[in-house]
Amino acid sequence: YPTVYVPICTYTYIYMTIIERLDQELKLIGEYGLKNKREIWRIQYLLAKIRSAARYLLTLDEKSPKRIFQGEALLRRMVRQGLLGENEEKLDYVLGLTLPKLLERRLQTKVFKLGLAKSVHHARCLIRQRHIRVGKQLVDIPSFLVRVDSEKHIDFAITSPFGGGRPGRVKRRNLRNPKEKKTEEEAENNE
Amino acid sequence: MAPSTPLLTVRGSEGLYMVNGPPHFTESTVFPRESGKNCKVYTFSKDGTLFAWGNGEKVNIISVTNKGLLHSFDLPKAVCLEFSPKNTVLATWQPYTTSKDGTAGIPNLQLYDVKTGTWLKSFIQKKTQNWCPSWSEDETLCARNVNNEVHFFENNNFNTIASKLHLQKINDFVLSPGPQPYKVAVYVPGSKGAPSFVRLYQYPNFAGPHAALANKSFFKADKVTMLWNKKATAVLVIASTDVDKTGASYYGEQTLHYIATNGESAVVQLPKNGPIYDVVWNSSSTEFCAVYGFMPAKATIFNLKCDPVFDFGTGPRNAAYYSPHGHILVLAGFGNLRGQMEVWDVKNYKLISKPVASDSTYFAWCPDGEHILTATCAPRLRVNNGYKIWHYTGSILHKYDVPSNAELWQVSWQPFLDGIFPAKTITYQAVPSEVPNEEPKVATAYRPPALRNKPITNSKLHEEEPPQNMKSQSGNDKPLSKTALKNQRKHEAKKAAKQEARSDRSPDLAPTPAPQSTPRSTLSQSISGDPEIDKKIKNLKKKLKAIEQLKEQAATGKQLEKNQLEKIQKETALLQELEDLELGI
Repeated sequence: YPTVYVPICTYTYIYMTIIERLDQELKLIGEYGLKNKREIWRIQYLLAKIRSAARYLLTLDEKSPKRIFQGEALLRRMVRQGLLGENEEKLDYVLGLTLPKLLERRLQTKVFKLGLAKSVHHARCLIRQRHIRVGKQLVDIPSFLVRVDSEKHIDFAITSPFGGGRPGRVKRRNLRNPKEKKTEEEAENNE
Repeated sequence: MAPSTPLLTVRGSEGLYMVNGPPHFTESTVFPRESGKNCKVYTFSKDGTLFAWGNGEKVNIISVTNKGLLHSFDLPKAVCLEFSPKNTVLATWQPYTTSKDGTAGIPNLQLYDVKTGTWLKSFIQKKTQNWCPSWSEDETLCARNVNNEVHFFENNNFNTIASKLHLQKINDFVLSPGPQPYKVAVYVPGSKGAPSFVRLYQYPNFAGPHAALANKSFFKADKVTMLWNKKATAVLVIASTDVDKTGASYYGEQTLHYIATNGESAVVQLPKNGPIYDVVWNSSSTEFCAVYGFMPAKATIFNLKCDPVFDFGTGPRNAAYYSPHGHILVLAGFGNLRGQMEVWDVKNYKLISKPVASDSTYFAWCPDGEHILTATCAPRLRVNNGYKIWHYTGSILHKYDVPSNAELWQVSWQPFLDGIFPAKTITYQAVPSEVPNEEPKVATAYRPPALRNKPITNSKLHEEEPPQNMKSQSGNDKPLSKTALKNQRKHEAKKAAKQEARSDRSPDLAPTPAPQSTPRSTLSQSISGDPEIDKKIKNLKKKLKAIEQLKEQAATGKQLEKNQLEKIQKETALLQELEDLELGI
């Protein structure tokens, strides 16, 4: 058979069906400083697993031991992660969780919200460049999901120049070689 | 030397004069009234024994106790005055002027010795902000911020600088209160790329890489307010930016940081978004109270781990004031709010009263811990200037309004050292007063003609959150078991029967007070505003009733147990207690 050449305009119909999702995803990327769509889909998958677990548990009988045990465990994990408040410890609230709520728990947004960085993008740089610690542990993963009791202990690392350590490579070099730079400039000017 | 009442100093366009505090409120003879409008400044010493004021020609110091003029300095332009903590030095400041030919002007920050009246030292201080050198509480240290350094002087010897703390671009510093060893909290704003930071140092270890006791860096800060607690173990830092980049508030953005001298530091997580209006330490330095969030603002008490201890819910407030003894906390809304105040007992977390001081610009606790001064002062507000003195239970004890052309510039209490006035137990009942409490008329909502005289649908603008101990229990939606339901029904039937009995006997009984206390007082007159005493009376009555029943049983011939016999014997003692309580109302 001769191949049928599909004119390009049919793609616009496909585009109409997905334009809303693309807009939403782009907004989230902008707001939370993410790198690519994969970071969103990763969180979506995590949320889907949580929601399907809650959905399954809700179909079980109210007093079944499985529902009680696994339900409590799920709720405890959610509260610990900071996704549910203290007075929201019911499975129905788990079904009401959204992507933005999960994205708020990333270390990148937390560093920005706590005033340690000037913007989410600055926060990602700081984290990746090993300036941030959580508790005593240096964390350089922007997608680290921060727990509720770790939230208070996000601070600059001890070895970082921002946190009281020695100045960074560039500053040290400039402190060492200001005279050399000046004499070089003079030599150039003379020549 | 403890006088019975602190003095109140009033400065306005009528002059500078003093008034005796509660309960007299007559003009005081301690200080001769200075009429005239030139009084720009006055100050008391920290223990209230010395008073200094500048009247446009001279700066005079008098002793409040023996009413004698101590010294007089020729300083016509003095705008600021400050005593050192132990009354040895008086610091004065006048605006810095350069002479016409461009040479440097005379030093404008002068230090005088109070005992001899001699001039000690003068400095050039161009800025009004942080003009006064900071003294430690026992005056062994005095510190001053100059350029990129903080200079420390020891023992009031201002001719030699004892030590220096050098930090590039240091902006602000605060000495810790309390005894030695002294600590300093310094703030350095950040330049491009570098964050701003607050560091704690211990005097005199400033040099070396590990000199700092604690360090906290943050990016979002243009200006910083540092608050030490009384024990000098921790600093609360309110970092504020002038511009909020997210556009949420045009007052900028504020964050609250906690730094302890043992190196711990944390950002205080505030449950509600919005600006931070006020943060105060309590007097025992174990807790602090923060008022924050978009209106209606939340107020919460945090402990040293920055965990919330008690939440006061939301309300129209933007300031918090602890009483001098630390038992009472006032949450108030001044400035752009109407002046509603809530007076709370912090030991039991109970609301005492809710007075309204409309149009107030100034609030101060009296050093005796019972009275409150609120004042409306010019130039913030030029109309209705005056001051009111309240008791913390909500009644106005004294009120003074200036005549309509005059202005009131400043009112304040005479300060006293902690411990001179004893702490008294807290009463909840309003103290009787002669001044009627004029509440401004409650404005009713506007209803368009089509909706008038129709049933009101309650729609709220804000979600009001009640305080933590008044929130309805969340476990109530659990269906009650059969026995619990039966008990509830029995309880309600009893209540209804009692209500009927009471209304039959005394229809003109005074209406029972506030909804929180439900005095289930039966026939007698035990209605008092104090819920504690009511509870005790109720318990005693219950016991007496039980004894009556036992007596009846004994009369019918039933054999009583030993403990029942003992109860009957206690009857006389209980009757005596009941009488005492009822008489004490």
